[in-house]
Amino acid sequence: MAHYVLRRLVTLMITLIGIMVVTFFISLVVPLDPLASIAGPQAPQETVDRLRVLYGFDKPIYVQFGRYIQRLARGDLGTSFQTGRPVLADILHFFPATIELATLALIVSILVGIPLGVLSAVYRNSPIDHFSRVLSLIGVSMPVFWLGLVLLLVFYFKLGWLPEPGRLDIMLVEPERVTGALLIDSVIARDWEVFGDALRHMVLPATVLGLFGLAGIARIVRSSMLDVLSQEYIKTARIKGLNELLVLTRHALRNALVPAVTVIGLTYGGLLEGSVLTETIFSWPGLGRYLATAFLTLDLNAVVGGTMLVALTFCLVNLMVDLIYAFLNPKIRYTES
Amino acid sequence: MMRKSIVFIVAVLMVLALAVTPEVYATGRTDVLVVGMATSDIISLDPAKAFEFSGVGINAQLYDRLLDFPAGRYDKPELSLAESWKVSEDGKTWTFRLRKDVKFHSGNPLTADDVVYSFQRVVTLQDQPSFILTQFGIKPDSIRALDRHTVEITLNERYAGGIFFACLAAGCASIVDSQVVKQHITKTDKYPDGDMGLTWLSRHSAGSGPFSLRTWDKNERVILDANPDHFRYPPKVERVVIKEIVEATSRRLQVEKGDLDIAWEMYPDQIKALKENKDLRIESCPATIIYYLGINVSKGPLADNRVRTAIRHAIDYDGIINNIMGGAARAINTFIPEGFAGYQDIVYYTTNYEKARQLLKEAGYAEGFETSMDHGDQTPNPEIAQAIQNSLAKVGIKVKLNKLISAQLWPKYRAQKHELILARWGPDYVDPHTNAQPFADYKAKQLAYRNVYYNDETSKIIQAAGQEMDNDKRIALYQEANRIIQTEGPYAFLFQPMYEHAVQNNVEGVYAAPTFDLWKLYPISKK
Repeated sequence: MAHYVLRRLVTLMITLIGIMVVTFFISLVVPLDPLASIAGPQAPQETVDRLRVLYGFDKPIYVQFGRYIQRLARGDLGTSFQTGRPVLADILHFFPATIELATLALIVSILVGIPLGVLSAVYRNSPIDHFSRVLSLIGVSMPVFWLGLVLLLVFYFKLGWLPEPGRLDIMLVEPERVTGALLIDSVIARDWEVFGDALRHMVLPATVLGLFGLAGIARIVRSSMLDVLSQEYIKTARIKGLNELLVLTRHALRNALVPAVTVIGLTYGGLLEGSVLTETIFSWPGLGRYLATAFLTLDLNAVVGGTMLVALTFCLVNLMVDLIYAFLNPKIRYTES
Repeated sequence: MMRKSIVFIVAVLMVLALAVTPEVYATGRTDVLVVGMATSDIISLDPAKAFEFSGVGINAQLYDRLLDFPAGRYDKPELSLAESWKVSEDGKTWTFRLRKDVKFHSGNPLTADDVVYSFQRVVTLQDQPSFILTQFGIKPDSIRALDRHTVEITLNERYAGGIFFACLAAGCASIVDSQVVKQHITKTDKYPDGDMGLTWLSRHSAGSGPFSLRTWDKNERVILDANPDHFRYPPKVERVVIKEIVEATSRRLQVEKGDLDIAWEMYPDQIKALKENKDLRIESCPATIIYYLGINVSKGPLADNRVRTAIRHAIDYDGIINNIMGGAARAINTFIPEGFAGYQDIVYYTTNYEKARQLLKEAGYAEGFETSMDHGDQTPNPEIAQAIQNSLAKVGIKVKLNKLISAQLWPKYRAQKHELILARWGPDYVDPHTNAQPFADYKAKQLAYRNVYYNDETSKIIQAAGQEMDNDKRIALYQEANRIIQTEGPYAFLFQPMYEHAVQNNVEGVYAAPTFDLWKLYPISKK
């Protein structure tokens, strides 16, 4: 097992290097000028030319690439044009907010999606199945932008149950930054007021994002549950006189979860890239908006660094998914053969 | 068992958290002002680098300049850190005497050395706004301290005092605390000999202004603390929180809910709804931004001024202003926007398809022609581009639209590769020269140049204005150049948009300013 993980990590490094090289060259050969955003629309040509030299974009691509590799070897991802800060510092700043929100959204998806999938399989074509189908449909098809604004309008503006967009009430002082995730940092600082307020601020964005993930999870759980429930061993279990709940959870669900875990993994990977629209509506200082701006303004260092981070996240989530398979189904073993 | 109890504890915590509503409402406190605006354009808060709208606007609260514009008046700057000035006979050497009672936020007194260092930073670092000073030929050795409170600046030739003063009141001419900045110099890849504090100042302040910077968290908020010891304008609130809210609908909900004191830049459809709300009022003023259609005179039929005039008559100005801008814009036919000295409320071109067809016929294009228009991807640009496409089609001009992101659009414009381009221009400092020069003097390699409009007459007029010491004569020169540009030039001027902000009724002293440099927070108070 340890050997397997190690081998996967080595492959991961190679993947990352490949992605870095490809992203770097794509960014430099696209017919866009990074100076356009650095210099702004109004700067005269002289300013553009001077800044081009200052930022090193006047050098041939291979020289720029060499410099980049040199810096990368020192663990330096370069400076972002849009923040003037090292890209690594930016990522460490924005990523925790995204991880926090993505995790909570995933919890919402799982906690609602799996029971919903199970119930709609067990009570196929019943009202609950229809409800699940409609909810899934809403989840995947409703524009996030619209849904987010409607939820804000109802729960913040009209009912006043939930707070304004943002991460924390502006009158509250953020606890000392340890992980960057407010829920964790506030627990470390034993600041329950901040914990409560941060959680309340997360409810709406997490619901919007969670609803999207929920759809896929509920559908896949339903179909694989239907598949499993028609298997001989389920009949055997029932004939044995086993409690129906045990049949469903221990015998059926555990097997049905294997495909669901794949979907959950992909959903989580997607959520961790950050969501531009949700972050925009809910004033969430996450990775999505940072990366979107980076791509649109051709903030080269941030583009390459951010792409590598997203790739890394996906690879790690995939690895985790593979390990969970083994846990769910002991027949799956990762050996050297 | 362990797992179950953790789940239980988390569930209980979540329920508790949701049940307890904190009793702090920012807008209930009269000492804290909460502003919601889109500030994601900020790259740096260093006066030598900041050139984005929000960054320049925030710097105006943090720093003082030798001259400055008073809140609500924008025709000419008044003395601020300087208490008097004189200029040599040849108009090249300017001497400023500084006030003696000014202290930085650090407690250090503001002296001539700080002024020298601040200007030297700008012209040495050569970042985006540096041309505002270097256009006068200012180099690191052009400025020196004559004594502790006297500064002498030598320019490479004679320039109109009005332009020079407007530039000394611009954001990049802010005076930084040299003692503090020098403690934070780092060596970077770009500045191996030291960055003159560029990295540090991007997210810290070292000024003397009415506010100091507490924090800037990109995409989150900017917090400013009042400087009660400011020599002229101690603020009336203790703290200002500028929340980053990109989405205008979200700003509207929050100001209506009372979570914001001011919602910056509301759009026409929201303004209509907000006007119903009795707790709020709308503060508005024309923004000194000009939307225009650039016409490349080197491209086929566009070389003929009759064709250009036909285009100017074949645009549905009212439709664009009312339907796309929701009425929050004004038609103008001048490069001197309302809010600047010399603005004239004249409109040469109204929509007249008949006249446009006639002009095209005279020019030999009775059947029209095909051309293309480049435009940006952000609202309202695609909408305006489509409106222009539709109305030009009525006189036979078939326009192919190219929607481009800014990293494609501006390089293409600079390289003179467009035919028509939908663009906008905002002043770099508060004086008509900052618009007259790019629009009318091709030698400045700006807009006239980009549209290949090499008119020596307007170029000479603008250069004469640049050296004219008599302000009234200078303004008259701009107006003369404008008349030529409007009748023969390579543009169709579309409109000047309005800034509209929603303000709580208990908030006083809000001046909607036409540019971000002129934004002032110190007069604002809450009851």
